[in-house]
Amino acid sequence: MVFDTPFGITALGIAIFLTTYFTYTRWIDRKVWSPDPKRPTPAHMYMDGVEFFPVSRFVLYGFQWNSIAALGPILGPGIALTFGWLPAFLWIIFAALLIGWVQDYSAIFLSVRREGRSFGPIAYELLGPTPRRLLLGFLLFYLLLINAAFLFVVATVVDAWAGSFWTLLVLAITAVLTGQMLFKMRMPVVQVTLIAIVLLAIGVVIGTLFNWPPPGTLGTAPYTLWYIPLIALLVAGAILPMPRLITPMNYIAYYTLFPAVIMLAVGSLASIFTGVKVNTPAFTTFFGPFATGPLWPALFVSIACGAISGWHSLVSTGLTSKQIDVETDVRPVGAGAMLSENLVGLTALAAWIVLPAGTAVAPANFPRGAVTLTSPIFGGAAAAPVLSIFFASYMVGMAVTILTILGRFWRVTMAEIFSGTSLSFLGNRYVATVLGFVLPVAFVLTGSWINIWLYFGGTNQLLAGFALLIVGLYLFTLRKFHWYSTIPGIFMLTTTLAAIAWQTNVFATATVTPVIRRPDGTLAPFFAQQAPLLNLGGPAALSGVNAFSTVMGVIMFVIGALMAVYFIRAFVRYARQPAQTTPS
Amino acid sequence: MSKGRFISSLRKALTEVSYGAALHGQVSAVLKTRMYIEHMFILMILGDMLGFPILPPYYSLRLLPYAVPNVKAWKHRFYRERDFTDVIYG
Repeated sequence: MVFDTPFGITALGIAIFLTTYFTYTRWIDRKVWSPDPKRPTPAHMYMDGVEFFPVSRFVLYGFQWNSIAALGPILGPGIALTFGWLPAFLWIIFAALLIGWVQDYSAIFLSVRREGRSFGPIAYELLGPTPRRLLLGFLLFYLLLINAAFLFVVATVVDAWAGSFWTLLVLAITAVLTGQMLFKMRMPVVQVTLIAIVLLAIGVVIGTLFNWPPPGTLGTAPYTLWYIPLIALLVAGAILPMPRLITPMNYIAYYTLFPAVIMLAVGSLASIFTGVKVNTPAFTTFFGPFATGPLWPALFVSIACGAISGWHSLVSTGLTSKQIDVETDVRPVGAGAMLSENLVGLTALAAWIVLPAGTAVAPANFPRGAVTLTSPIFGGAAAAPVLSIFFASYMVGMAVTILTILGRFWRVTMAEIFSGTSLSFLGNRYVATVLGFVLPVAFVLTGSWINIWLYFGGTNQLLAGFALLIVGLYLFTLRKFHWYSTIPGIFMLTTTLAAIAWQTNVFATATVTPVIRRPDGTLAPFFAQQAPLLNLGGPAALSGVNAFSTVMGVIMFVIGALMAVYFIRAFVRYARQPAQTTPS
Repeated sequence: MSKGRFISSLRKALTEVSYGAALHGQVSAVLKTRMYIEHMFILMILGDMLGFPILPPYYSLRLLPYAVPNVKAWKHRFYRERDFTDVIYG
């Protein structure tokens, strides 16, 4: 059976992605948006050589793909395995067919047709000022949650694979050196790149040789200690000028991302020859543990960017749409990059499902699966320690590069919200940046990374739902075929609101009953990982931390529900108006 | 398409994809940094007209020719509504 090995799902997935690209995306492209290569795009109309200038579709494809690839598609499939590999696989395929690319592609096209406007102004234009303010508030909480989820994952991975921290440190130092060599010493890019790659390889070797301290030797809650250096690095990244640290780090991290994805894809496709078997059950249960919730909605928010992600709409309208050369490029850039991202999710799923049956779903286990999948081809058992650190660094690097960008984004959003108010100090660059990484620690103290991840997934996909509905609304005002975007939008909105409601209920339960009595009579925290906090502050501390998460969940749910109401009102309003060529 | 042209196109496409994934974000960030510096430069020179007399007119006029090529793009950027969702990459 081909499905005994990861080859089956990978080959079938790739075939479906290609078919989707050459059939459905093309059909929507022609039927709905009718791209005209002669129509000037914002890149030509408003060319300023900074934001607006035409860029080749291959360059934009690479940029878009690298910008949307983060930790979601790597880790998400592991959480989805709670329900077995088949539901996870089917959701990736279903999303790739009908939802994921629809959002990315349509968001770019909508922005191209609206003079290169980004997500916020388009929301204002179609929905009005209040939804735009709601969106701004929503983004603030979304950034907190994404920071919390990614920080949590990085800390647990670093705790299990301490070598990856030293590799990260080398990456950061290499990034600073790269920035200096490129911008101060003005060395040629090729030379700088070669030096950076060599330093990166040295970093992996250092991480392998210096895999210290061993897991479990840093006390009862070891991963929390890793936050100190991690937050220090992220704050520096968010405050320093971008060419000093962030952009060189993103640039160098690409040389980890690309080989890792290729290695995973090759390992998956070659598994039919290497004999690496699928060890995870195809289907386990519809009703997962209480903390995770039932398959619907939990599965649909767990895989995040590997299926669909709201972050993509921000990238698509924030920069990509302003540099589209001709309208016919939107499909290869938007849909092509998203389908490639689906492939990242699929190869990560392949790495998860080869882990021995019964292996706990924990971020630190991904490198083990990746090594099982790839080591038969890339160096055998002898290379396993290096590969482990390489894949752990791949996870850490993907998370940290996006976290630094998010840190800056958070800082600017805070300044936008609080400037000119009595709380303007919250918009101060230093205060805002530190808050952006310290506040998420309150989530982290819940100790349950899966719940934080599902919260993040819920808000992330909810943002995607907003983007899909905004596209649907725009097409509706023109009386064009909007259902291809509106139906996925409604599905995502409903599903994510249900997921946020479930997780809020979980945290509310943990607030009311912070400790539970075990069968042997001893007391234990609701979330097992909260044991150190229980010892430190007692049940009241647990209740306080869990109440914080509950309140955040309620806020997210209310904003989502209000946005749903505004969408319904907007659809009703535009239904009463004649078709427009440009929406008022 | 001949084999040689196909290989050449493929090589060009792969090079551009790699450039886009690795460097385009960095280039965009640097350009934006330059944009902000240009804004300061133009504000310095045309400050008089905007009510901010930063430089004496003599020096403004001396520097004006260097600012003129960027005035059109600068005007467009100042008129365009900017939003927090515009600043993901700096």
